[in-house]
Amino acid sequence: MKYINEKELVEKLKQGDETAFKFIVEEYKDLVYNTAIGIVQNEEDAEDVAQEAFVQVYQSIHNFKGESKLSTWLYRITVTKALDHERKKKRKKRSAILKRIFLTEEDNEIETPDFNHPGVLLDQKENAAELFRAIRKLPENQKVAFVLNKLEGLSYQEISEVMNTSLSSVESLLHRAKTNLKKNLEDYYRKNL
Amino acid sequence: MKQSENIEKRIEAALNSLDGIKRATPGDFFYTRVMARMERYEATLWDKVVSFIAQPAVAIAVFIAVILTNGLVIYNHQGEQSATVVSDFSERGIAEEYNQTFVAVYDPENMAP
Repeated sequence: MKYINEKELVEKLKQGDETAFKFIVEEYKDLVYNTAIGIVQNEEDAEDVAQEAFVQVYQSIHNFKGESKLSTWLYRITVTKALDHERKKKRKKRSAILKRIFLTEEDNEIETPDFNHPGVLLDQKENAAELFRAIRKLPENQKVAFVLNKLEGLSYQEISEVMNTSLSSVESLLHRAKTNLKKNLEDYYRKNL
Repeated sequence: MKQSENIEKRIEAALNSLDGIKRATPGDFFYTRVMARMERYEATLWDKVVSFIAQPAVAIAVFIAVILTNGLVIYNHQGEQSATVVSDFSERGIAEEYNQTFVAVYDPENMAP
């Protein structure tokens, strides 16, 4: 089933139409999953986050006023869910580390396995895994901006709408993200090459 | 010198490694899993409510609150009743003690000739 426009789709969703909900899930599942996987860097966790995001869509569609595009709203929900997931995971990890006080920070880094994004070209797998390792260490805002730009191909303007910030802030975030990534990668290569 | 050139190359390669990346997609039957999660979510919500109410501390607190409310209602009700009785008694008592008879102007027996 196709919907003429977003407004009609949103109206149907607000009425609790299951076909409309199925449509939105099928239409946007890749957008949601790919964004989630870029942030959480784990396929199972990304699946969890994506499911949670759609449950949230179903529950809070009444709050969607149509001031932004539906995709922008979906990006926002996904990013929020993914970051929440990451925070919870970090909290759990910290408490586990506290229990095993003999483990050092470096040991902890080694524990996290490399992430291979399923969409990366075969000859770029190794380089991409190293880049994702560096992305993991970025501050949240920089990570989100970088993932939206590189994995989802969003323009600076679109990122500013998703992150509810100015265009210049996005430019600055991406500049700092690239600088930090270079630094992290340099540190990594100096130790491992 | 050679090593730092090598590192520079690796950094550039890593930064460009996401060029041409394709979107990751969830597995088949994703919609079915979302619906199952929603059902699970609704079930767990009720489970949470029930398990919260069934907690001994909550159950005892609710029990005490109900007993206290009942006690308070009964006490207030009794207080109202006794106050009415007292007031009725006192009015009649005073009247009898001072032998007061209220004469109505239209009473022909007590009217002066």
